[in-house]
Amino acid sequence: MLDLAAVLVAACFWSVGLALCLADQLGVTLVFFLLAASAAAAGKVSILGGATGARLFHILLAWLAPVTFHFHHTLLTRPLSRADRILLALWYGLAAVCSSPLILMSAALQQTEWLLILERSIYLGLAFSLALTALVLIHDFRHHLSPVAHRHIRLIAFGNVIAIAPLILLSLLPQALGAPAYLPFELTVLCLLISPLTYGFSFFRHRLVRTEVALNRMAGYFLLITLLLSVYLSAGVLVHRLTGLPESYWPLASTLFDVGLLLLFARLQRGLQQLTHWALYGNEFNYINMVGRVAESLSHTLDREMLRRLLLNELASAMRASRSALFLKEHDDTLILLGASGFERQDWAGGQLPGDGHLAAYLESAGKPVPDAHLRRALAEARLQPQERVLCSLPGIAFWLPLISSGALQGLLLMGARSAGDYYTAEDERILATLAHQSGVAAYNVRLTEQFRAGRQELARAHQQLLIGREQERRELAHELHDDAVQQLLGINYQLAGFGNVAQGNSTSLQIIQQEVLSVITQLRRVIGDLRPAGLEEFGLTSALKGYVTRLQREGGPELPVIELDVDKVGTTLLPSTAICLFRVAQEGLRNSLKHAQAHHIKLKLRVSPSEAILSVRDDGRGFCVPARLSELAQADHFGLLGMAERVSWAGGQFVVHSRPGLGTEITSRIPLNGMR
Amino acid sequence: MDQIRVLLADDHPLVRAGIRSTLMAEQDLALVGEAATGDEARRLCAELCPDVLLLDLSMPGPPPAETVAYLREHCPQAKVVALTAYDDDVYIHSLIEAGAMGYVLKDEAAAAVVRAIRAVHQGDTWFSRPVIEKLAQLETAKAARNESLGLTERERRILRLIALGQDNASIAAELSLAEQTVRNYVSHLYAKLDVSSRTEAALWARRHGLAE
Repeated sequence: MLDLAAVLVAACFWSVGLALCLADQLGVTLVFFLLAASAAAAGKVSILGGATGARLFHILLAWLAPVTFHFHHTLLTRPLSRADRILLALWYGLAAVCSSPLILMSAALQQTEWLLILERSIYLGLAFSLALTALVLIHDFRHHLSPVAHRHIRLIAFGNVIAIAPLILLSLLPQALGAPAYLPFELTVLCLLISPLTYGFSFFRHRLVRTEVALNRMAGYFLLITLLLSVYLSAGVLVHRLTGLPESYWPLASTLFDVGLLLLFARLQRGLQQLTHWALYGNEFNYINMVGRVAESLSHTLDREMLRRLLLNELASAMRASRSALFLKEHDDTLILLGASGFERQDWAGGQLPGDGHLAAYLESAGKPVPDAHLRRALAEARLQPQERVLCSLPGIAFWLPLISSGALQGLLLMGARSAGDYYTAEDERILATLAHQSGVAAYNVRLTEQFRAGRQELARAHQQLLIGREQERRELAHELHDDAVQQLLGINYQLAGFGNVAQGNSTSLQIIQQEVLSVITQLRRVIGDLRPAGLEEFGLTSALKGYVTRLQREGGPELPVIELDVDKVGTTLLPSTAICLFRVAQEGLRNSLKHAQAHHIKLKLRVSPSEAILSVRDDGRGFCVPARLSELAQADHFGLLGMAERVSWAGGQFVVHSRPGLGTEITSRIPLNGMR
Repeated sequence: MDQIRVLLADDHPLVRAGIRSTLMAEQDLALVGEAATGDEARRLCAELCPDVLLLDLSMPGPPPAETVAYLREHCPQAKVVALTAYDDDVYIHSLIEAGAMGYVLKDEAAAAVVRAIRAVHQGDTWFSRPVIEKLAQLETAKAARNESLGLTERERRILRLIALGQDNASIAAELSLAEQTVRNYVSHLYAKLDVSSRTEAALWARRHGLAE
């Protein structure tokens, strides 16, 4: 009779556990508490009957095996697969089967072979669980990429080895080999304390669990366990007193209670959680701090990255939302997904939401956070566009927060539901409403700032285009003057000279005309010289630089510094714009050194490779303090360096100035050539 | 007497016409061809083997310095007279470096072209006056700077030995210095004298009476 009851109880636990594990919507905590409650129900027999410590120990070991594996398996929030669920369900069932005889049977089982076999299989199960857990951790370590997860696993492995090694090596192993233990069990077992400490440390160190949430949960669960235990105990005693059933039927009756309580479980847990929440924080949490901080940050948020971080990372985690997503309005009135966390990639169909659809209109008119259920109800009949329908069917959303400013929808924030056993209070909702309003203002600011920045960039680009165009125009003008006007005038001059030989009588006036023509040519030449560097097009950059330095040397007085030339030979193969940029930078650099540096030696260097041209001008002059930003030079009327830097940046290059007072100056320009030499 | 065979390369018809009429008037000159681009000038040179090429520096086609270098290789007998409207240093030095024997500015009278042709044909050089002035000015400026350089006694001795044709190793031996030290002195000297080769340094020393 006793055996039958035990098998019945085990089968009942087993089937309920299996059902719970296979059902998707029930969390691990629920399973855990069902089993814990069942264990407690069974345990009351041993409490009432005066159980021995050894038996209790074996019972605990039997349960420890699946729980250890389950806990480590979900440690890094890896979702359980269907196979995992079946394995765990079987295992929990096995633990129940193994432990229930120990709980139920009293004197009958003692000293029998069955007890020994049972105990051995419990050890075996535990060893198996530890090995499997180690495998899971190794697998996670190799396939989990995040460094935090790695540190976490390393810490746990290290702590457990330290905790278990002394017990096995110094106490268990010698005893198994027939020698006395090197260290007494009292000491080595104490080492096991390191293990929970390690877990605690790694959890809080790496913030896998938020302290306050853990505290809240623990308190809630503690209340729950106490409540369940007392219900079980009193119900058991009551049943016994009222019905006079024999002692062996108690577990059966308790199991029926279990099933009954299970139906109330979720609601009961929620209620208790609310109670502890109220008791622990007075429903305050640290919202005032959090709201203040987020609101303060929102007030000076001007770029979307910061907005994304504030709303999706800080606010969502402070609100303990399991998932969140942020949409921002673009210029064409479409709402574009800016970022999301906790969602699957395939949840977003393109990540867009039409700004003129029913969903946007509904949220805009609502003007405050809308609970998911309300939204679904309100839009159930509406004819939604495909993208809207995808969004509305997203699972796990608690609130839809329209971000509104200047009477228009600026964005949309989705707040996910909290994890099992946690919920949004009315207070939370009010806070969300306030923050949604401020986020609306921030989103509007972000848009305005972006428009302003884009405008300014546009302006800068236009300015640059204008200057580049001017350079181009000057080059073309110089080219035309040089190739056509001057040459034609020279041709006319030769013709006039020819006439002079023939028409003797008018030679004086012809000579005057010839001189006029020559003076026009001279003026034109001066104009051309100003418009473009001499000889750059005909002879290339190297020759033009050499020619310019020669001119400096020719015109300079005795005090002219030595100018050393170290220039790679490039013909006329550089792009005209690149060549002119490099020439002007070299010219300005040399001019600066000659004018300001009081140098004795100036070195002009040009290196040209297929990928880039590097030009540097270095002097051993008096140098100066280079400001952090070159634009500060403009304020001091030193436009030369600024002009060079601008020129180089138009050509897509980099411009660097190195100088220190007393240590000379070096300017370096690097211009990419993209193989176009 | 053999006429001097001249090839005229200029892309402006008016200029060509002016020079053509001048050359026709001279008995000892024969205009054998006219080219309007750099490529054409090369081709005609190879075909006609002229004594003198009058080369405009602003023609379409390959850069003028390349054309001159090409001719010096492929028809070395042709002397080149550069014909241009510009007297910037880069033009003058690039052309002289490339091997042009004459340099005529177009705003000079056409008679200058005739004189230049005759001069280079005889193996002389001929430059327009502004060009000569510029070359002289450069030399004077360089010399003036060199005077004021103030070489040290050791630098003078090393420079003298360079001018006498000794290499670094024997200079080091003579002055009881490490060869690396001599090498450092030499490169320093190049910078000071504004020269880029041993030969130039030797020439400078000769010109300044340091070689004796």
